[in-house]
Amino acid sequence: MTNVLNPFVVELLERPGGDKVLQCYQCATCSGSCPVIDEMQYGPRRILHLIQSGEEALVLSSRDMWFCVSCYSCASRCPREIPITELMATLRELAVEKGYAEDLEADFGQSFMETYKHHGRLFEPELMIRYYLRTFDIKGLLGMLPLALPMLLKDKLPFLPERIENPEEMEALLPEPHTPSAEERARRRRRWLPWLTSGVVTLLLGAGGLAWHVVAHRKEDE
Amino acid sequence: MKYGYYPGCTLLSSAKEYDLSLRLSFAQLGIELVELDDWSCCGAVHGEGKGVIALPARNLALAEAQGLDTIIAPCSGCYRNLRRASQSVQKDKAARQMVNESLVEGLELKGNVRVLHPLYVLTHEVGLERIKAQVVRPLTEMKVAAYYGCMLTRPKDEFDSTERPTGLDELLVALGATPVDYPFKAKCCGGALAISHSEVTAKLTGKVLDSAKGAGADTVTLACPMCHTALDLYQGKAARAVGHDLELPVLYFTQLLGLALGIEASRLGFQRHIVSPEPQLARLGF
Repeated sequence: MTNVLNPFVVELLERPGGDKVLQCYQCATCSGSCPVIDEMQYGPRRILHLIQSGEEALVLSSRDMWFCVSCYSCASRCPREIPITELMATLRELAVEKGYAEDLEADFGQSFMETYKHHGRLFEPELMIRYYLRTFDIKGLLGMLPLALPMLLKDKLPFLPERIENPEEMEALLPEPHTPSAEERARRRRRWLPWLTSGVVTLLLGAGGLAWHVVAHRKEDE
Repeated sequence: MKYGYYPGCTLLSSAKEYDLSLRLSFAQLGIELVELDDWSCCGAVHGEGKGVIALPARNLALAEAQGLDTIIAPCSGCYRNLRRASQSVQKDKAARQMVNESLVEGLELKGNVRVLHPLYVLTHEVGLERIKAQVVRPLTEMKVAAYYGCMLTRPKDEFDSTERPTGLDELLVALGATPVDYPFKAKCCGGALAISHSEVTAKLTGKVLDSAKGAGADTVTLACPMCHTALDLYQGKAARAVGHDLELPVLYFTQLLGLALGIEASRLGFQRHIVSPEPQLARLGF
């Protein structure tokens, strides 16, 4: 018998949440349960149908997985026990790897990861700096500013990062960076700004951290 | 009773009052919390690839090395991540091997760490009867909407229902408060999109708070710092999304527990809330 599976399904079978995509029988319990269905282009039911039909580009360039709030309403009700929440996370990863990702939430996720990788723990001010420099989301920033003052007044924003003893340990806990193919690079090229700014921020923060380290040690020596 | 304690990143910053009230009220109940040494971020919803398991699993390995067989995670997101990692390394040899290859030398995960949310320590390990017996200042006259959000009850665990959870409500009854029933108690607040698509967070949070208020609640209680950010910090945005004032103080369940156990209100971090609960607490004599 010839293999009737499309390449997208085959690729997903190996990924978290992707091994049961063929079990979906389109009952739409997921889309009916989804609190953000209004924000999506297709919704989980149609996403599963598109996956079964091999529509990789449509799925990965859609906005749906970026609006998934990871609430598990769909997955906990799915009569076919498809872990749709994990599938959405996998679609996010694939969209980044293959250069489709354009949503602000993709940049937020990357900024978040860079921050906890840097310290071993999250440091909110750095996350915000990384995110807004990466996106230049001025409208979003203006909407956030009125919240920043009360947060500062209520001592909800830390000034110094909490770090684990050896933040280098974090690197091995994360996957090796994906090497994009020529096709993926071409898709990604439109997105040079985030890559550049995140590189610059990392360098600056690294240099700052090093300088601080040197100063702190000099004090200790004295 | 002794538990390992994994605070998670937000309990050191925006949710300090959760950390504070949890430590105080658990100590009052005679529960010893040992903070996990050198704990690291669980990845939240932004773990990637093997990191989804490996990031939280590092903390499980630390717990084993530090002789802690159970750790509690007060953030629902951390709870979900640590629990998923724990289940994964217990049933899947390949996952355990992947984790051990990713850990720093000298650290090894065998996979026998139990992960609990502090609410379930109260409802399933301490027992509500014992808590009730220690209440010195019952929260009578408080009409409280228990908000469960998502990851406290989903994916399904052995502690509560994914559709109509009751654990927080039962705790409220034990503390002498009146729980308010409302349809949005286990619906999502949209906290995950608070920065990138804050209008979605405002919309979803607005529905939750409006539903609680409509059912007659004067306070909301919850068990997750991310939900707290949405319901408290974003309440102004949520009010604009629903088109009218909400004015609902949002308290961690550990703060209510602390009050009922007789801990002074001034030590439970109420001054740190954006929507101040202080006028209402003063009215009730706290």
